[in-house]
Amino acid sequence: MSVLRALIQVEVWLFLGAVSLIVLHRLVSGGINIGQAQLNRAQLLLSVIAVAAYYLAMVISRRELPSVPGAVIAALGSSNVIHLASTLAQRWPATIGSWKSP
Amino acid sequence: MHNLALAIGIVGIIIVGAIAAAVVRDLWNGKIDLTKLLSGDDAASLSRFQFLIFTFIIGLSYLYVAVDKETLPDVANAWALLGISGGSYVLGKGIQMSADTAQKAQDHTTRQAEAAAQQAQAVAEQARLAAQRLPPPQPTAAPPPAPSGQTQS
Repeated sequence: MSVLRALIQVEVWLFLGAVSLIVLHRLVSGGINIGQAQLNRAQLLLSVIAVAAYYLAMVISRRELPSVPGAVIAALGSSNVIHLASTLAQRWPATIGSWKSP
Repeated sequence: MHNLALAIGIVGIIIVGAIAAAVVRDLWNGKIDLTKLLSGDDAASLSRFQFLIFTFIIGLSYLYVAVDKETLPDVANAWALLGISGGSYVLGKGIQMSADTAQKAQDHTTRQAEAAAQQAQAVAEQARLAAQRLPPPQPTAAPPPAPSGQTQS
């Protein structure tokens, strides 16, 4: 079972590392358009990768599915709320128009 | 029993690993478009990306703990992360669909107004042509002059 544990550990770190490296590579090489980058989206992206890595480290060190600390939930939740509020603000007239129409 | 658990664990690792490898390959090839991940566009949804990452992380963590403890772990503690990412994805999708619906309705109204304007223009043109085909109006006869000897009372 220790081999399986090690395999899963490698697999999950490889996945998270590969996704992070691809995003980083695209950012550096211009594959992700940062000319019109929005701060709220950049913040959410960083929060997601940081919280995912943090949670993964907690799982591996404690060998259980740990409860997420309130501060982490608050950070991730507020990032999401800001992102959603910004999206809603950009599309506010159209969205409200659709709510008013029958 | 131990061998069965080992076999199930290996199968689980292979399945999840294959899906993860396919996702990473598509990200690398550009099949999953990240171009507008930070600039805000429907093509690259950050909420969907977030949901993808947390689904894999929590799924693999679950597998890890299940293999370690040889029992199904309690997932109550992981709901917060999945709930936030899933809720954000659903809300974002709702906002996007509302805006798309409104845009479609507006496009439909514009098209209808343009069609009505074209129809009105055609009717006006037909009326103009019909007016040209009519004979010119005859001058109306002047009323006979009143006799000079009579006076009006």
